[in-house]
Amino acid sequence: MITKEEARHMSEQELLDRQRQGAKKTATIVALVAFGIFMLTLYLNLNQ
Amino acid sequence: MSTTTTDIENEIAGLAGTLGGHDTHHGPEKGLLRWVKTTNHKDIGTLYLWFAFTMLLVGGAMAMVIRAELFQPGLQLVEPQFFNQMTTLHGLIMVFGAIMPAFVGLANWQIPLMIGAKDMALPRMNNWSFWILPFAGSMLLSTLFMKGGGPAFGWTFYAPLSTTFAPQSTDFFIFAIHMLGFSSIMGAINVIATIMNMRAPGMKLMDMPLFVWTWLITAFLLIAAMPVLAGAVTMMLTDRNFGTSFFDAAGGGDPVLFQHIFWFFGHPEVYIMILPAFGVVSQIIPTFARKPLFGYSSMVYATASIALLSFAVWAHHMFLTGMPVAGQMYFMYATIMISVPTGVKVFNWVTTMWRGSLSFETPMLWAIAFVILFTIGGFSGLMLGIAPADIQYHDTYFVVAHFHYVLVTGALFSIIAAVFYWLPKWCGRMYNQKLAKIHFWWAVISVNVLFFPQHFLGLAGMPRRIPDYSLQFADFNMISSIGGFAFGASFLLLTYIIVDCIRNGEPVKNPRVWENAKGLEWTIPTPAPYHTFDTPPPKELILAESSHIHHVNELAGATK
Repeated sequence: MITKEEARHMSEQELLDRQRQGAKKTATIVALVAFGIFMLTLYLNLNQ
Repeated sequence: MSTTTTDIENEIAGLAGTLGGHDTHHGPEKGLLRWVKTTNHKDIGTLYLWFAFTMLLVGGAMAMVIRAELFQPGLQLVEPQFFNQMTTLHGLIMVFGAIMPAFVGLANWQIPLMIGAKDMALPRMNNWSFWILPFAGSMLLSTLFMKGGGPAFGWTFYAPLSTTFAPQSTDFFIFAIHMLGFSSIMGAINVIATIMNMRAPGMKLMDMPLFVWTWLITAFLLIAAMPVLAGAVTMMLTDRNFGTSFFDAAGGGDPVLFQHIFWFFGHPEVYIMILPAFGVVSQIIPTFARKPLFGYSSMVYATASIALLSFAVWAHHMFLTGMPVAGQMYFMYATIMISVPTGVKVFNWVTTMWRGSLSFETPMLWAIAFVILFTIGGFSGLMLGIAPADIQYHDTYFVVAHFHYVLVTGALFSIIAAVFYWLPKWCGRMYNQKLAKIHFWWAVISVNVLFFPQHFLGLAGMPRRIPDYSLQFADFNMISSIGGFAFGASFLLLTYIIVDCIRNGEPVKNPRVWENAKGLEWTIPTPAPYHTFDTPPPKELILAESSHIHHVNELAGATK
């Protein structure tokens, strides 16, 4: 989360860019977790 | 205290005037391409909602076929094989085509507005998430016209019915499920990234409205559950086409394994469809009770607890597969434990209404109906969770009654409540409130005539998924079918009310729309401009608008 204090020193565009940068990181991590769960489901069942 | 409240209200009025009103961007593109190319969260929310409504009508038409066939004992209208296709596709379409996309539509519209964000975090992916859906839905429906017919193995598609003995169209079904799952995962990624990263500066997690909280938790559920479903259908695909034997006993596999995998996805799926409903109701009740939501933080923790527990109870759907007594005991107790956080929620909604200054506008009527009828569905769920009792109830109409109380009078009612609550903000017009109330009473009476007798049918032993039945079940089936036709017809009136509102409704200019509505979405002009929150809302406004969360005195301190 960007604090009110941090935001005060940023332009609207800077704020948006920083939010989007963070969002891309979050999205990548979450997507990798989802793919990992999919692969784990297959892997665990291959070893039954 | 009154002075404090007035100060805050004045401040809101001042600040609200500076927000959202100046639409410096271009408006939406003209023509059909607007909807194909759009990356605007409001457009995409609208697309999701209309798609879900269309699928609701398609799935509802299938329900009408089912109830018409069951109107009397004996085979009346359709072949048993077609009847099975109807029950299967009705379930799949309602779950994956209607309820889930409707909630994603609400999330698209509301989450950015509620957290003061300009749009969803990943707008292009948002467009893609939506546009996968019509193709997946069409592919699923097209199976009905294929050789051998559509899938007829029930929405749970248990192996080996869905592998060894399934029609050829099942491969299309598998592809459709993959696409629907992919769309849901992308939607969930977007929701998580938006809530975690795009909140207005200074908005803490515990400042967020309950709807946003419940959707955040739902998105994590989707991320954990949908890949498991994708794994299950992938294994089905390889069993059917590439000579593997995951679920084939003859090749060393295990059909019960399919049930474990399916329900490891399937039970959290139930909560995926109900947690956002909890969020909607937690927004509506405080507005029309004119009181802050009772126990905000306990609501958040209860939602998280329900989500965690949902991954530990899956085998209560499988008590009759021959699991050890210790396993039955564990799954029974774990299941019953879910009633504790759920009870916290129901208690908080009732306590919010307690001594409130209640008024009964249409959204509130739906929210109250939700609380009462969802609780009935919850109680029958408790009965089904008791392992020895489930031996009697399993695969009977009691189960059908239970999950329809949860998903129709629960999830669907909350979606209708949400539409009646936020529609004036979306389109800037008020619907015909008298007609909306008539529709409410029509739907709420008919839905009970439809589903309540199914409890008795189940207790008397009528199995689910059969086109014909013994004579002793005739009366309750006829009553249920009459209720079904009436409930189905009520959606024609709902369609009229919504279309009439959008086209001819009385214009609403008040940003607040409802007298006591709180939240950032009510500070922007009505109708909501195409672009909102180009400038993030100030902390004071965030705090003032979360007065349904925080105590007024606490707010007074924070705003100084």
